[in-house]
Amino acid sequence: MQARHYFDKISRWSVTLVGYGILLAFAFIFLFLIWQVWPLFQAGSISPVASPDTEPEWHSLYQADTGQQAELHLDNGLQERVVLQRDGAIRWYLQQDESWQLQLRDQLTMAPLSDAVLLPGSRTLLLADGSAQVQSWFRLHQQLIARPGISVSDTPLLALIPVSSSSFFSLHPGLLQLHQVDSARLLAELRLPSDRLQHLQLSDDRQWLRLDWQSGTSNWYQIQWQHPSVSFTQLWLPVHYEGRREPAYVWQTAAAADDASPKLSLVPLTIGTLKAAWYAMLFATPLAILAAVYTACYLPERWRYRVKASMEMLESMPTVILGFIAAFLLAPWLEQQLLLFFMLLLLVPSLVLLSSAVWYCWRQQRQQQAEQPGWFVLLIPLLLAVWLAYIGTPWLEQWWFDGSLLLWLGERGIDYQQRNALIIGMAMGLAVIPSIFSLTEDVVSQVPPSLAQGVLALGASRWQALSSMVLPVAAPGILAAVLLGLGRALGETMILIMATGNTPLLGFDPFTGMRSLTASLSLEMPEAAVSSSHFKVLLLAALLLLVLTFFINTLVSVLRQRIRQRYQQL
Amino acid sequence: MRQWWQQGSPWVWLSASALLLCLGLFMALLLLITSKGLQHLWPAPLVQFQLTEQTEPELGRLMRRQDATDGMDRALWLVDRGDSLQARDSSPAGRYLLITATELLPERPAEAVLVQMYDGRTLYAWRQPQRTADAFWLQTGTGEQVALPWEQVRAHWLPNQLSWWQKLQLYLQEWRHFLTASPNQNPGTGGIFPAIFGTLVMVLLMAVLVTPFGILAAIYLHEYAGKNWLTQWIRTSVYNLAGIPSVVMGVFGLAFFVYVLGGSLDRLFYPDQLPAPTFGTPGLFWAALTLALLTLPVVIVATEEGLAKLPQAQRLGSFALGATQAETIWKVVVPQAAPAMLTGLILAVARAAGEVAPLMLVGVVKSAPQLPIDGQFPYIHLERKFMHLGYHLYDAGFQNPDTEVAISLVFTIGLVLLTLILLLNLSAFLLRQQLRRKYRLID
Amino acid sequence: MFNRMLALVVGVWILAVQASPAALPGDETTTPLRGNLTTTGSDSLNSLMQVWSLHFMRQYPELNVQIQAGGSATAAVALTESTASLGPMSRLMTATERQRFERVHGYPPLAIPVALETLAVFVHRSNPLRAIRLSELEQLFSVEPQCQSAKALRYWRDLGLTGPLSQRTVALFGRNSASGTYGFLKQQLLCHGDFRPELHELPGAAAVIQAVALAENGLGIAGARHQSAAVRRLQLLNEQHDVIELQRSLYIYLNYHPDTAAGMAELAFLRMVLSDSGQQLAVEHGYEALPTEQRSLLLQQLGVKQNAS
Repeated sequence: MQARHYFDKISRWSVTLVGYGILLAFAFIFLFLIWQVWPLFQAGSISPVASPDTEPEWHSLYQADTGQQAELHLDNGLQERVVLQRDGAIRWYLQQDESWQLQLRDQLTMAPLSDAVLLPGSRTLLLADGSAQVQSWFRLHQQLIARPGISVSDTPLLALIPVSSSSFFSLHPGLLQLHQVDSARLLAELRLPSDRLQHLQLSDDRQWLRLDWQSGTSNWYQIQWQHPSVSFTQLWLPVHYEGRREPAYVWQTAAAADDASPKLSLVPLTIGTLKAAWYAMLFATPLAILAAVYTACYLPERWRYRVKASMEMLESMPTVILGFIAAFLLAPWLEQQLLLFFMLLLLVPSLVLLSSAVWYCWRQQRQQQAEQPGWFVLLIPLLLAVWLAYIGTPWLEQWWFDGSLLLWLGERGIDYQQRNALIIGMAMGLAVIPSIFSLTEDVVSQVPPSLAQGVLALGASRWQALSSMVLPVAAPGILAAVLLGLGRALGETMILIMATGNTPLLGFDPFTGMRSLTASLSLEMPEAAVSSSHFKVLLLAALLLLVLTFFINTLVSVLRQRIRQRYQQL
Repeated sequence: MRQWWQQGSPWVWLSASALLLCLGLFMALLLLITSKGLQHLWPAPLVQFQLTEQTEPELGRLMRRQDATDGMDRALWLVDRGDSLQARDSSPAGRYLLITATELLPERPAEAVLVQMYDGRTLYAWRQPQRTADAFWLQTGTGEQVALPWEQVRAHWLPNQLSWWQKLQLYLQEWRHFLTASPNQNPGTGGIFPAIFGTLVMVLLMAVLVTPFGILAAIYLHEYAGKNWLTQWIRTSVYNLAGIPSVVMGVFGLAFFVYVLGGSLDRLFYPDQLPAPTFGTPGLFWAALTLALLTLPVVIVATEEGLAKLPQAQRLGSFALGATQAETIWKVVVPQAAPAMLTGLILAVARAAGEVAPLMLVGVVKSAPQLPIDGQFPYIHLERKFMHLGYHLYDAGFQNPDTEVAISLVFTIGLVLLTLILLLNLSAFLLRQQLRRKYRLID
Repeated sequence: MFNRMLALVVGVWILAVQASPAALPGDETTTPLRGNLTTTGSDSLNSLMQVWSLHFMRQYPELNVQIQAGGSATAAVALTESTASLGPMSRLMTATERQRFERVHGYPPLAIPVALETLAVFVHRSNPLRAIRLSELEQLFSVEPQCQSAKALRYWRDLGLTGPLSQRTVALFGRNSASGTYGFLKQQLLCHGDFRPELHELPGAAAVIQAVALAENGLGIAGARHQSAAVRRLQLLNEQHDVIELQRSLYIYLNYHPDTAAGMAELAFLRMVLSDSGQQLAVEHGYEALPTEQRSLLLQQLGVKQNAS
């Protein structure tokens, strides 16, 4: 008896534990990603230490000078030199064959220059003129281009000290600030004693800072960089990077290049994901919903069962096959037959409508009920549309588009890329049709039949009963089905890797490709060094996808529960 | 006209055609994969072509017709000349040739032989009458005679002399080889056995991991959980777990299982092996664990559905006889719902077999010549990397510069993968069907 | 500017060293090796690694060589995280990658050049173009050309083509950012500028060739040995219209502890790679062999006593 009692208890506990475990597992995935991503948004810091662990190689970056020269001579280590005058006159020299050649001469209109630096390994020139804004310029060929100014402390500026190709110190009385150039962001700040700084040295790996004071004492500091090239600005707003003419959303991780900091804007990737999902839904939603409604309401029971079962089986179709077909068969075909595709898009629905009208009139004349056409009758407009499109396309292309639609589009400035959103729409549309179909079919067929029967008894046609009674009741369920499909489209990976070309473009142009969050994740995750900014931003992208699908799936789950309740009430 | 619109005739037509279109598209897709996939290994006849009057005729296999790109209206044929005997690599540069129809000789030589070599090369040549014990005598396209050692020859046949029946036999033989051999060093040749085996081992391991948790969670949700907000939350997280993009799960698997868990395991148990990793690297176990997390909801939902179908009267009857809840569940409910659990498991396996994106991050490799199960102690090597059909398909399609071979090979692998998945799905479907019938009888 | 171009040209065109390598030791079988040998890294080296590993496993049947290829950057990560013991890379590690490795392990990784590969520019086989200048290539691939000219090229007509193709844009195909090819081109071709977002980043050199084969307006950069009949290789010209080649070394990185040295299997593998038979395999698969002197030097470095005779 006792043993039975304990068995009951243990069983209850262990089963309950596993049940809670599901909730915990899901929460843990969330928390783990958040915990991993968290350091991205922590500010850097410069903290005093007794002395560094090992004696690093020091680089002298700043030496207190005695007087002001009339001319500043700057060097960036790329065999380029800049000569600046205090009134803003600037000459930029390049080394060519042992001699210095003047590349650029300009006169900047600004208050008398107080300090200027050329960042090492870059062409960015920082100019301070006594205001709390440091101007940032870079050279592009024979031109100086301005980037947004960088706000520094409004106490008087003593010196600008270059650190790396994208960061610098600004030295103020009693204050040392570390700035990021691209995002014009303050990375870290250090309060200094009132002593005068004699000498500033930085270790080789830029982890340690050593300050020598005029009084003869020295201090060591450790710099916590955290993730200097990641901030809200860089992730979500246009940033003016060096070498470009205007601010842009750039995704160039450049794990391979030595000196450049990664350019990590999530905007192109997010837009790519949304664009792919949008075109897929555009293709899949009408087809799947109409097909599901027809299956649920018009097909005989046996056929309904078979169609539904086969659709459910197709749901597990490996998308890697679809991606391959899309990239290697569909994309070249569509490029050849773009006009045919549009003709089909136009002809199929219009011919179906036309034949419906003809069928209706014919039935009406013979005074028969005109509702369900047979399969063979339905095939007629479809085949006719295909045939007409095949016949008509070459003729139309010759007559209207001067022989080629692609060239015609090209002349109007519309760029057609072979791997584009239409391809993705079709391939990914096929992948999401089964999910939308099976849930829609479920909710529509489970609507209590008594609802429709009342309307039918009043003499309405079956479609009238359907559209006035059944569909409004099932609407939340259909919405849930669409959202389910959307969730699947947002998370799809293989089709996007294989068929898009992974071009981080902006905008919703149907003729260009995209790069999605998912494709970036699976392509770049193995290359990103653990705990690097790139790795963390990819985890952020994963978190973003998780949050997006979390909202969608929660909504789906709420809608499904609501519709279950509604059916129970009826 | 107005009546036509109001009675909904256009909508009926549109929705019917939408259904027809959907089914048609999927049928076309399946037909495409099947027909192309079955073609790959079919022994095609060899033809002769002569490029100029002076040169010797060459042997080749017709691939397909192509339209001329130079605007002239003539028929072009793409011919596959096979691999060459001299160089050991099969750089595809010279393999395919576009010839005009006039260059094609009408008769098909009966003595044309197709030789499959063990290193994956395929040769087209003329068979020579002299046969020795250790070598196979051939005449190549350039006219020279070569002796090919027998131990290099895997198979050979005379495609133009084969009867239909012989062709079928050969075809089946080639399929057997394709399914049971390892890939060769030449991309796109050899078999796919390690990929099939890797897929099966991975999904079985995943099934072992996912079954207890999935079933217990379903039992909790259906038998124990009260109707409160907590249950609501658990249900929502099951739905959410099902909706997490698979690649995100892969990212989690890499960042947590491999780097965090695997790294700690290595530091704890295998410090002598470091820096060479044991579990701190993507591998079979982590892949199975990641996919188990991914397919957990499938098992839960299917099991719960089975539990819900079981008549309440049975439980009440059990209680009435004095059984505890645990006894009722384990001795009455679970055995009867077992087919439903099996259904869920099969569906989970089908889903796992088709996933590629998460596996790319947590343990699949292009080539792992040693299988995860072998005769070496401890026989099952959980830390090994493995090959997977879906990834092998991606790899064969994307990493093979020879587009012609890549496309037909991909369809063949795709056919195998699709057959596997559809069979699994079909068995789950039939099982569920049987279950329904049974419950209907009980009711 | 001219200087830089010249440096680039000199830096990258060592016209194929095809001399048949003289006999070198290092191929002999010694003690049996067992266990796993994991290599992660470059896709460019993938097929060669496979060939080498098969050859190697014939010598040591109890050894299991596992190969994963996601791009060169994956090698650096895998070595740092100790998820692999050999890291084939198609470029040298960057300073950041080296620092990261050193911070974890306390010593720098060892880079062994193992073969040479030529990069080539491919177009669709129906494309009338025959040659392209390096500067034009930069103007095509760069979002804002940095090296010489500020003008970006987008259309085939900008490359001097006439006919229907001239109206269409150049569809650019290249490798994804994990690859060494990507980094090599970014440094050498784009003068550290950014790639255009329209560049199709494909995971694999073969995928580039396939994509170009299917797109009439395509132009792609990939390893020359991937050439197939469906694409045409363009001649590369410098500013003086001399034919040049973009050649780069391929490396295998090794987690080589200065005191305890690397594992036996890793060293044996590298000895095999640098031996005559290893280099012969490389040549057979479309790569180019290392010069003999360099190899003997490397073998010496790896602790093999040079047999003078």
